Amino acid sequence: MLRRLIRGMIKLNKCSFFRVVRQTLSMLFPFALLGSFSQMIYRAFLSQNGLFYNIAYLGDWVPDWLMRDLQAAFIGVSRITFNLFGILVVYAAAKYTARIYHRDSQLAGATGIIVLLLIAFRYDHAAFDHAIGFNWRLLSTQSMLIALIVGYAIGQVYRWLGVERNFQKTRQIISVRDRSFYAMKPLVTSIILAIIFTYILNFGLLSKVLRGVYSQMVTVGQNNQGIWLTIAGTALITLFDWLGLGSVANSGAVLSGGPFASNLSYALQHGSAWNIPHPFFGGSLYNSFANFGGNGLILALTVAIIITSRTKGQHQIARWTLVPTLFNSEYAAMVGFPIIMNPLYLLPIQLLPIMNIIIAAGAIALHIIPPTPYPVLMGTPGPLISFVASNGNWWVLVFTLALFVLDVWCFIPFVKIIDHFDQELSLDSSEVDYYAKK
Amino acid sequence: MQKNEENLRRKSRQILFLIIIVLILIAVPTYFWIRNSNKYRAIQEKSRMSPVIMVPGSSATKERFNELISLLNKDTDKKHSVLKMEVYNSGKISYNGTIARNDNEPFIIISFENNKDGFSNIKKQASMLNDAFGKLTDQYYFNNFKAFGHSNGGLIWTYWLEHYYANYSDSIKIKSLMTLGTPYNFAETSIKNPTQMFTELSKNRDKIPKSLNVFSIAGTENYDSDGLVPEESVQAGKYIFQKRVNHYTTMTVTGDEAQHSSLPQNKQIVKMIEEYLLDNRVPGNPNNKRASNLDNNNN
Repeated sequence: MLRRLIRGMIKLNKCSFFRVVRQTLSMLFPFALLGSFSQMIYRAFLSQNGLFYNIAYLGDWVPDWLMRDLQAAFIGVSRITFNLFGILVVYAAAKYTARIYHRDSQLAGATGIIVLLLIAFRYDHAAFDHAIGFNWRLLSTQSMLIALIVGYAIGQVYRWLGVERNFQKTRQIISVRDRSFYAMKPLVTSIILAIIFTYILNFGLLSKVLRGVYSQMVTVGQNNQGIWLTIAGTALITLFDWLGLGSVANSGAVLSGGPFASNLSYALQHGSAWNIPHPFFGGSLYNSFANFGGNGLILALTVAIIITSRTKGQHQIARWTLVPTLFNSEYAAMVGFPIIMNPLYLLPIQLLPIMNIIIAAGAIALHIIPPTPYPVLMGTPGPLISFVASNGNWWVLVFTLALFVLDVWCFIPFVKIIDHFDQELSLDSSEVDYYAKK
Repeated sequence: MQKNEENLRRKSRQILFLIIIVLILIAVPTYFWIRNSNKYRAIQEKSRMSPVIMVPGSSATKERFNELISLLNKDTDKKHSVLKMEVYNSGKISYNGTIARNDNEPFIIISFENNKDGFSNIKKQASMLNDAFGKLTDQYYFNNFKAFGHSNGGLIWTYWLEHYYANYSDSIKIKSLMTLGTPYNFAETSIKNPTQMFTELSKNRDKIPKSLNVFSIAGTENYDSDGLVPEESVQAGKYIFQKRVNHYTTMTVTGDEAQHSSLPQNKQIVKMIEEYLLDNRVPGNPNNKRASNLDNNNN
C-alpha cells in the first residue's frame, strides 16, 4: 500500500508540471521567508493590535517617528514580496519548464514576466491613464496558480519554438546576440497568445471572482455562527490555500461584528464566558482551536517534522519557518515544505482543522471547557489563542495543548511517507543533472 | 550518515525546546495583560456614561458653548457637568472643569489652539480631536457618546468619523451627530462647484457608521444664508450622509438669532438639542430606549 502510494507520487513527480511547481516553490522559499518574517514582525510588534506591541507597551515608550518608519518598512517588505509574488513565480516556472527541454531558460523566465504583466494589465484603462494600471490581484500570492500555469505554458512555447542548445557556457558577445535572436519567435508567439487569452478568459474578472469566492468563504468559515457552515468554509479555504489561491492577509483575522460582539458583551456584563448567546460561533471556534499556525494547522505539521523527519532539507525548512509559523505567518512554510500542490499533505490539512473544530464544539457542548469569546491580539501564538480568548482559563489551555499534541500525532504518518518519498527521489535517475553527466 | 542524522534531529529538537520556553515566557505577561484589558473592557461595557462631545467652529474657543450649556442646564434638575479641553499645537492638552461622579451625561468640549478655517486646518483639527478623544477613552469609561459640532466643528467630526472612528468602533458607539450651520461645501452656493473638501468627504462616506443618526440644522436670516454660510452648503451634507446613515434629518430655523454665530443660543435649537441629541428627556426620543431600559433594570 505504502509502496504503491510512493510509486504513484514518483510518477506524478515525473509529470513535468508538478516537477516545475516543486522546483519553483523551492527556489522562491527565501523570498517567502523574507515576506513571512516581516509580516510577523509587523503583526506582532508594530501593529496596534499586535501581541508584543501591547504586552510590552511599545506604543508608550518607542518614539512615534521610529514606530511609523518601522511600520512602513516592514509593511513595504511584506507587501512587495507577497503582492508581487506572482512575478517571481512566473519567472521561475517558465525558467524551469524551459530547462527541462534544454531551452534558453533565462529568456523564457523574462518572457514569463512580460506575459504575466500583459495578462494583469488593465486594458480598460489603457486609453486614458498615463500610469500603467494592473489588476494587482493577478500578481499576488492569491493568484499563484495562474502564475504557475502561465509560466509552465511559456516554457512549453519555448519547447516547441525555441532551439535546443547548451546556454550555460556562453560568455562571448556574439553568442549572446545569437541567443537573443533565437528567442524572438517564442517571445512574439507568447505575447500574441497572452493577448488572445486575456480577451477570451478575462483574467481580471477571473481573479476577481476567485478573490470574491475566497473572501466569502473566509466570512462563512471564520465569521459565522453555524458550525456546519464553519466546517465547510474552513475546508474550502484550506483547499484554496493548497491550490495556491489563498491570501496571506487572512490568517489570524481579528474578529468583530454581530455574533462576536454580542458574545463579548454578554461575557463582559456577566464576568464569565459560560452561557454566552452563541457558544458555537464559528469565528471563535476556528480562531481558538483550528488556527495553530494559520489555516491548516501548519504549526502542528512543523513540530511533527522536527520530531520525526530524517530528511535534512525538511529539518532546515522547519527550523527556518518555525518562528513565523508560531506567530501565524505560515506562508513561508506553505512554500518551503512545500504544502502547496503537494498531494500528500492535502488530506491532513483538510481534515485535521475540521476534527479540531468538532472536538472543541463537543467539549463546549459538554461543558468541559467554556467558549472563547474574548478578543485576541494579532500574532498571538496559535496554541495560546484559546487561552487568551477565554480570558486566561487554565482548563482551556490544557485542553488546547492536548488537541495540539493530537494534531502533531496525526501528522506524523504523513511526514514519514514524505520521508520515504524524498529518499526514493534522491535515488531516482531523473534527478541527476543533465550537464553534470557529460 | 547515521550520526549525521542524529545530529540533525538533536539540533532541531533543541530549537523546538527553546521555542517552548519562549512560549511560556510569552504566556505569563500575556495572561496579566488580558486579565487587565478585559477588566477595563468590562468596566467600559457596564458604564452608563454617555457624554455629549462638542466641537466649536473656526475662530471659536472652548468658551463657545457657555451660553448654550447654561440654557440646557436651566431646563433640567440633573445638571450636566462640563469638561473643557484645549489641544495645543504642541500636542499638549489642557483641562478645565471636571465630570461629576454621578453625571451620566456630561458635556465635553474639545477646542483647538489652531482654530483656523480651511480644509488643511480641518484635517489637522480632526487629528487633534482624535488625540483628545483617545485621552478621554483612557481616563473615562464610556461605551457610547453623542457628537455635536457648530460650523466647522461639524466638518471636523465628519472627517474624524471617516478617518479615525474605526479605531474605536468596536467598543465605543457614536449614537448621533448634530451639526449646526455646518458648511459641507464651504462658501459655495451650489454643489455644481464642489470644493476639494466636499469631494473628499463624500468620497469616503462609506466609512461613516451605518447606525448613526445625523441631524443637520441650518439657520437662515434671509432666504438663502445665515449671514455667513449659504443654506445650499449646509444642505450639501445630504450627499455625504443620506442613504448611508440610519437617519439623516435636516432642519432649518429662521427668525431671531438665526444668524450663524448666534445659532448655538437660539431657543429653537436648544429645544432641538434637548429633544434629539440628549438622553432621558422627552419620552419620544428614540435615543432613550437603551438608557431607560437600563433604568428599569436597576429599579
